[in-house]
Amino acid sequence: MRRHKKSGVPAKQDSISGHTTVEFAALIRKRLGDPPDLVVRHLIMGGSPAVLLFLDRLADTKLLSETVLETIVRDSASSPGVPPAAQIPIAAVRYRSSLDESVEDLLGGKSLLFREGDDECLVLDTFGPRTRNVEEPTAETVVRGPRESFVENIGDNAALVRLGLKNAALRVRELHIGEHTKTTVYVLYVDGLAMPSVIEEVVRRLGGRQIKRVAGHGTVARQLQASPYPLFPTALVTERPDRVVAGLLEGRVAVLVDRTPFSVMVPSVFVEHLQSPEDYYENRMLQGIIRIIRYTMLHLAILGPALYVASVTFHHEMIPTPLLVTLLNQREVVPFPAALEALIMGFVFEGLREAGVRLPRPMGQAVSIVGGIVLGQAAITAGIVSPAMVIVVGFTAIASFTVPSLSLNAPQLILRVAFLLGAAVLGLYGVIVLYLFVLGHLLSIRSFGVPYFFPLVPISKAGMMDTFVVSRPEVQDLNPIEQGGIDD
Amino acid sequence: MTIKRRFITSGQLTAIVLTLVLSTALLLLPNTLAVKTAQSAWLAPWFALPVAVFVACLVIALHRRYPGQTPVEYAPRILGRPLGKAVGLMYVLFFFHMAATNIQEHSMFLDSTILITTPGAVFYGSLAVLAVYLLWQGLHVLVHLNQLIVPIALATLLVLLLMVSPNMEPGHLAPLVSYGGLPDLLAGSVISAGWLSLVFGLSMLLPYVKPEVRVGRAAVGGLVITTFFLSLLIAGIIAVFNAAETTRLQFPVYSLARFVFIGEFFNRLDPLSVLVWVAAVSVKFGFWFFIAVAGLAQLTGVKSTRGLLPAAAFFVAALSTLLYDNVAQLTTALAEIMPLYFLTVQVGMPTVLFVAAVLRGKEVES
Repeated sequence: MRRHKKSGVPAKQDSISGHTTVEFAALIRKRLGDPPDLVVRHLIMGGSPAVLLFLDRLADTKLLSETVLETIVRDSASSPGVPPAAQIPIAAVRYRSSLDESVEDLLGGKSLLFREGDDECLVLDTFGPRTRNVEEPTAETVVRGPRESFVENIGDNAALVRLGLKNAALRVRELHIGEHTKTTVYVLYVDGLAMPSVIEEVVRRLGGRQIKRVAGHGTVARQLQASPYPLFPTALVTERPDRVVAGLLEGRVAVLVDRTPFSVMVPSVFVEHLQSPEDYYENRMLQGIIRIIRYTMLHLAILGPALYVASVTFHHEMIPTPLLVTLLNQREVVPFPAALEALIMGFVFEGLREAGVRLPRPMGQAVSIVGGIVLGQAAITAGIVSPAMVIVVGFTAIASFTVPSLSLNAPQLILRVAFLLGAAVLGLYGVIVLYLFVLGHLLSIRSFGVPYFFPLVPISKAGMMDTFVVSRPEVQDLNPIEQGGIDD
Repeated sequence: MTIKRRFITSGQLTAIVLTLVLSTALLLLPNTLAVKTAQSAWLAPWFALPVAVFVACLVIALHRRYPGQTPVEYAPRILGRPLGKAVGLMYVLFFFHMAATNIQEHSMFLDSTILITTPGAVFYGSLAVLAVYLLWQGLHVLVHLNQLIVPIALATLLVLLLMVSPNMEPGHLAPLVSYGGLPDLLAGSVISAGWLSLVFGLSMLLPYVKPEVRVGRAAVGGLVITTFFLSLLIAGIIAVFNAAETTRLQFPVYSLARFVFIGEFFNRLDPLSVLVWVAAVSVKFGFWFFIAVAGLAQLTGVKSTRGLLPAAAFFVAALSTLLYDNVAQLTTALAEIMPLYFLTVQVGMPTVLFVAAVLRGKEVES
């Protein structure tokens, strides 16, 4: 049992077997570089020496004192034959014989209990760091609907999903990705609804490539996107458990990532990014109309400045004559061509928005005053931009805020500029040609085999209903993705 | 024989028929027909419909005999290698000619309506690049795009007719078949038949249609819808402008669009209708271009259609600059020369192939 006592080096570096408690504690301490928050507690258990190791504040010390220590102290005279696991009143325990695995567990908030003479050490789930409570969603708010959003702890997130989906067919697969971060990732799907090929592909893409560092959901989303440089989002990022539950029931695969309050769902189609979970909680007629407004607004957010520039520079005849006269009067004092004016204002607006997002709230007000009054009003008075252009850019901004998915922000910005340039050069012709390019691009994308424009193309009647009119969740086909068009 | 992924559904096939025929016919046919048959012009497409249905049936029957193959591929099997290859070459040249004509119709229309000072090169350049981009992703992208555009285009056409209906004078359509009588109506029908039988282009796309689709029904359905819309549009145009005026209008549909008023304020919304038309015609060009390039690849035995796309696009764009100098030439050619040419290639060739195939009898699949 104490073969290696003299040498101090175990035959196999990773093996726990055959150490004294002091050696074991020293090994762990050495492996972690003697951290100040590593607590080492030597005890006597069943007559033989034992050692308890845990990381302060990462493990629940109160739980440890109440359960482990109390038990050991009270039963210190109990028979030596009883295994430690049988003596500790903690629900989740497991044995580890590998030093590496033990250290990983220790770093994950668990505690190690090693009794001298044992081949394995006991890993106690005492995870209990201070975590955030489940709070209201910030990026996907609803007026009337569940107010839960994911938190940073993956276990809590999985529990939130399970609470919404009490179904034995819900499968959770655990992966550890990231060479440096060893981030825990859960792959969730409903057995029988999700396509096995999609599940395998998700696991392959997450595990296959060498990921060094997992930077939250971003890394996972990037691995699951259809292309390395995607213009449109092909993975749905959500912070709402109810959305994940709905997605799982539609045959999607959801990925939860530890330390991030967002989950990633695939396959993802375009229309999803214009849907809000609230659509299913409120009056169907109203939400159907609101969806149509969203589609229109998305178009205006992208095409607004382009259409204005095309109308005032190429197709004056489209503008009602009295309005045209007013517009031209306004534009008379502005030295720049309409396209440049639009670019300047668009740039200013994006800058303002970025400033508003990053600044602390009290300073945000200052930004809005500077942006609204100084840049808006004064720029007009100074003759740098025309009032109509301010209206167009302002309306475009409002329109872009109606799009529920933040993932669509990037394509909106890029396309807005592209269409603006197209309109500046070729008027409405430039707009339509670019539009066809974009449509062609959208039609060519597939997310895990599902055409990105499903259910518009290829048409699915049920999917169509859900795209423009909100169908009742109770009668919704559970798997619109699978019911058609995949192999098309 | 190249292996083709069979994905086109019945609805998509109908939409393709509409695109192949309607999108340019609605622009150029009303004027030509008004010249030939005056106020009875709207009847002419109906007389031409049987010819087009005949072509569609021939093409489908041939495809049934040689499933999964295009005319370029089965012509050598029917007529023997040298003659068949010659026929294949003729097909390919015809397709290229169609694509080039198409691109030029597009550029001439835009040059004389919304972008008058823009050089034509911009139009055929952008159209060619767009077609290459779409087809580079695969034929399915074009087919799907078409499926999105066709309903919008048809709805626009209907809205257009509805909006100008207050200006319509039904008296302009009477008396029926008086001017020149039946012979003139037949002349108009021949011209319409030339256009409608563009459904012939389907022969190159049939191998991509899903096996379970009832091709005949989809194609004929498409033709009937096309004829209906053409006839409705021509009747609308003549009712608004009267026949004599229609003959003087270069693009009667565009003139019709300029008649749209919404309230007192929007009185020129024609650029919007041009947008829809550009979308429809871009897809139409895409199809003819694909048909031409695929035909070329099959004729020459080149494995990848994709690799041919950029060069072929350049060729088509260049060819289109050589075809016609101005709109007058184009319209005259379409009225006087093309009908015979269209009918020879689109009706004559499939007939010859079909008769030869029947004479050869059932072939053992090799």
